[in-house]
Amino acid sequence: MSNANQEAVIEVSQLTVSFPGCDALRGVDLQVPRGTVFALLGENGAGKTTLIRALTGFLHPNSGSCRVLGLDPTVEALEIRRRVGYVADAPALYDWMRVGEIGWFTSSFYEAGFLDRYREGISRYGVPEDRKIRHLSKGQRAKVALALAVAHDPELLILDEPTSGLDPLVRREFLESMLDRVATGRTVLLSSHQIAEVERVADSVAILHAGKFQIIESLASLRDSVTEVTVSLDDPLVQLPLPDSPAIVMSDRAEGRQRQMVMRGFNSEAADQWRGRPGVAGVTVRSATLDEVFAACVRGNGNASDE
Amino acid sequence: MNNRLMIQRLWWKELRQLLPMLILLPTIAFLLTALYLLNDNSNQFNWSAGVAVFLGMPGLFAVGAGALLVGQEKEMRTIQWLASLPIRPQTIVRIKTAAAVVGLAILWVISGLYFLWRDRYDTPMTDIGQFSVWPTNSFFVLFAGIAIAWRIKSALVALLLVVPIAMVPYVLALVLHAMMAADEYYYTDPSPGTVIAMQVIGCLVALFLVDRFGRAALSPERVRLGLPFLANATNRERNGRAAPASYGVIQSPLPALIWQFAMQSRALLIGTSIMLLVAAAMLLMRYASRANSVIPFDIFLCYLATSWLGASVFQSDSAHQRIRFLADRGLSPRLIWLTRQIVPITVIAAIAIATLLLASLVGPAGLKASPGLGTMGMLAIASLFVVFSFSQWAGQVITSPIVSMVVAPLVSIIPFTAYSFSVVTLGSPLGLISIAAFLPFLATFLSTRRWMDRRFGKRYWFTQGGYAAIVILMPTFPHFMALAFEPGMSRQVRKQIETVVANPNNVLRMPVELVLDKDVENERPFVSFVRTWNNQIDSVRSQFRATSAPIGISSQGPILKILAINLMAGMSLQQSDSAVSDEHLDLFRRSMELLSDMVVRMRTSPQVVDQDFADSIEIAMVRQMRRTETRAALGEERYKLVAARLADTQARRDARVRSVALSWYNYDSQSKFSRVPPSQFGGYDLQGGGDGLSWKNGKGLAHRRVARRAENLWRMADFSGDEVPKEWLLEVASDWGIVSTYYGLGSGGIYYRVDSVDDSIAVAKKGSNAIANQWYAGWEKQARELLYPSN
Repeated sequence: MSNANQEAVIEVSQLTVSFPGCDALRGVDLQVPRGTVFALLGENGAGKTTLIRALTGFLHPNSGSCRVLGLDPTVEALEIRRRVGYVADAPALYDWMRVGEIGWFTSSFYEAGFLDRYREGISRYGVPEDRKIRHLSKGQRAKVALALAVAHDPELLILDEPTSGLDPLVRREFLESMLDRVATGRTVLLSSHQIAEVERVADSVAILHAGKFQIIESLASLRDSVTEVTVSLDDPLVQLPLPDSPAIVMSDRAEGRQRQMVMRGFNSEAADQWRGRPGVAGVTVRSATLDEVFAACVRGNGNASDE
Repeated sequence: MNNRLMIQRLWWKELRQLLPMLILLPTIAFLLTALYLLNDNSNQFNWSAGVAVFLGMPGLFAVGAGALLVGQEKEMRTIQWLASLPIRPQTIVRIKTAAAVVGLAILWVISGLYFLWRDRYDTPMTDIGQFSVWPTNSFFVLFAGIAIAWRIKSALVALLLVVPIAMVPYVLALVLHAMMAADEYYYTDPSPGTVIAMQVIGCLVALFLVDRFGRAALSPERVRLGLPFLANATNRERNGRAAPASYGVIQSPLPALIWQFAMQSRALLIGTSIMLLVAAAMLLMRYASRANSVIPFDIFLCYLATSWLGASVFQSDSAHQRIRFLADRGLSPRLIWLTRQIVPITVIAAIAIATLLLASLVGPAGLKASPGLGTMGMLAIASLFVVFSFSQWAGQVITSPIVSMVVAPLVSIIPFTAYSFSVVTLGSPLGLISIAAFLPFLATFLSTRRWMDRRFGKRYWFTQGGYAAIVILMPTFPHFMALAFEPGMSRQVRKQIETVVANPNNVLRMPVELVLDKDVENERPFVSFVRTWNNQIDSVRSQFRATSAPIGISSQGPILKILAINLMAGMSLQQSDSAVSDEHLDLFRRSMELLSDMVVRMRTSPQVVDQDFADSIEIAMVRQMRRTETRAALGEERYKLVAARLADTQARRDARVRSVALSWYNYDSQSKFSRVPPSQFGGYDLQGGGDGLSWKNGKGLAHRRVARRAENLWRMADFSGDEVPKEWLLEVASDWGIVSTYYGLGSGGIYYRVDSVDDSIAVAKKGSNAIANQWYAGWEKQARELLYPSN
């Protein structure tokens, strides 16, 4: 679980959101500490965007509660949106405006300094100011949306697939800027499919699957506790006993004579036990990558469940 | 690839896209017609209005189909995706066009069925010719709209351009007709045949353009190389050496949002402003020249432009979900609502007020001098804002931009039909109507937040439905409140009345009018005058013998003239000339007898108005009978007979009771079988009254209020005490909207309610508008004293 000692900018408790024929969020709990980059991972349809929409007040939950910067989104959504920088996965921009124009227009809703910071961001991203938005590429539109979202220096930045469409250089630059923001005490909630990027910048991750969190943990702790275990077998039919508690199998895949498992809480004693079993040629243990953890949470085939 | 399946699927997709319009337009048209039919359906105006709706419905579809099928798809880029599929471009173009034709044909079939159902469509050849231009014009508009939609990038601009292009065939027909009829002295409209011919040619041209523009739009895009100096500018941009653009001082939110709306909607604002200005110019010219137009195109243009401006209030930001940009930044919904409304309202108000000022200050003489220009002008402006009010509501509720632009004009007619029903039929106060008509502004104001957040769940739709119900039903509240809480006739009184009506002696037989001989108009010298009036009395007496029906007072002439003769004859009794006196004496006697007999017959009338007039005559007779010379003039026997009749309070009472009962029975019977409540009770007009309801329609409430009036009259008629309570008199006065002075109340009352025949100035008058005001007044006591001096 996240570090409960740090003040939480986002607190979610038993949040449930249901649509006809589908439970998008099923009683989820979450705390996002201040001054961190918190990554929200999940496959398509897991409920990430639904959670973000509930946090920003675009959706009212069926039950449960959430607070963003100490405010209730069902009651004070406007205030939240004024203090938060939000970039949706398909940002809506006035395509008839020019790049500079939209910054000038938006600056009227924020404090002084917005326009300068926006121009700085646009310049850094290399987007021409006098071009119409409808003539921008998808990546350029994303840059404009990002620049608009950070220009008012929000306490909390909520980004839904922010780097989608960005070239690798800009992506790296953007991620570095996220770290800079966090260093000054700001918080970033990042929803992304780019696991490699998340690994580079995130302090904590939460993996959402079928409306429930499978994992909410700091990245460091996750690296320490989740391992990828590869067992080489003499015979594919060799049975392996389940490891003793507290080890949990998150995923288990057999490929010929090899069984690859992602396990939580797997220790060296358990590995030795397996090595000693007849039919086991070898056991390799290494830290699981976030990619593997994500796949294990989503695909399952184990008894992985941890919040 | 199954070609047939592909074409089937394409058809399905196109018709599915048209479905919202195909459902909404007829639904609203039928709703409007139902509202029209709530009014008296024999009214020719209501029938014409229904025709207009069902002619206009396919027309609106024709205007919007191109924008919906082509323009909207181009904006959403789904047309690109469609073009990326292995389908020939001409197949896409043809199926879209064919689907639009099918949609239009369906709507014309619905309209045709409506006309057949109404069965009042009189079809002389000229009318058929006039109406036949509508279908052909609608097909021309359809093809032209599709062609424009393929050509023009913006769906909204394409929609705007359809309106002026729709007039092209008619204008060409006008030009052709003008060329051919150049020698004719009188201007005539082009014949329907000419117009239709131009429309058919227009259809063929438009179809050719549809094919051409459609294929061009679906072909690969050609890259255009810019001019050298522009290319340099582009290179500078690319190299990051372009100077940063300057947009001026940073605005505060309000002007920034107004700027954003105006810039975003400038095509629509310019287009609709042009429409309004053209309409204003045409209106000014038409009214100045007093010309009548079969098709009031200027009013239609004005109404369409206003409706589109209204729909654009919210649709401008709904397109491409643009409003989310502002929603994401937590902008105040109130501010958003205000800044969306300001610009369109300003455009309408400015042009309308300028037109009115122009007409009144510098307009053509005929127009400046028009009576009621100011009032009509203000009404017209108010109507425009009602259209705007409902259109902006439709623009928020209907999520598709093109569908809302097409449907909004039809939606904005609903308040006019609903409220005219409320005013005319239910007597709703105009103040309440005014509030209801502008409630849509409140509805959109309260719903802006959900609209911005795109939260269109059940709660949103229920809320909008609730607003709609309030807006339409609010003007009816006073009517239904009155119906629920106002007392009618009590059961006890109803039974009493039924008992009287059931009496076989109380027959509902309408009174007969007496007539005078024409010779009465030629007044000859004094002696012949007496003979003439004696002959007249004989004539009236023979009319009496000819019928046993009651006598009524539908005309002032005969009875008043006989009364006047009686009064004159009475005055001449004082003359000293004995020869003249004998003739006058005879005339006096005969006229007194006749009047007495007439009163007896009038008392059998089932109408209350005849009882009141009989009272007036008896008051005059009592005044005569109290004069000292009258007894001698009449002779003892005749005097006692007349006095006995005058003193018979019971007979008067019975007659009044019977008249109230039969008057109510008559009203109640007529009310059951008539769609419109009767306009009279007991011979008295039911217009006006203290309760402020229009008596022309509104059967339910009118019936209840008349019942209450009848009960109050019954109570008075059945009175048997010494003095009628003042509260009863006040109630009757209030019921009928009559000044209480006529009932002897207040200063000067003694001159109108005859408590003493020596004081009053009450004059027998036809249809005296003070119903029952002489009932049981003091004159009846004086009448009794003629026979029983001690009473």
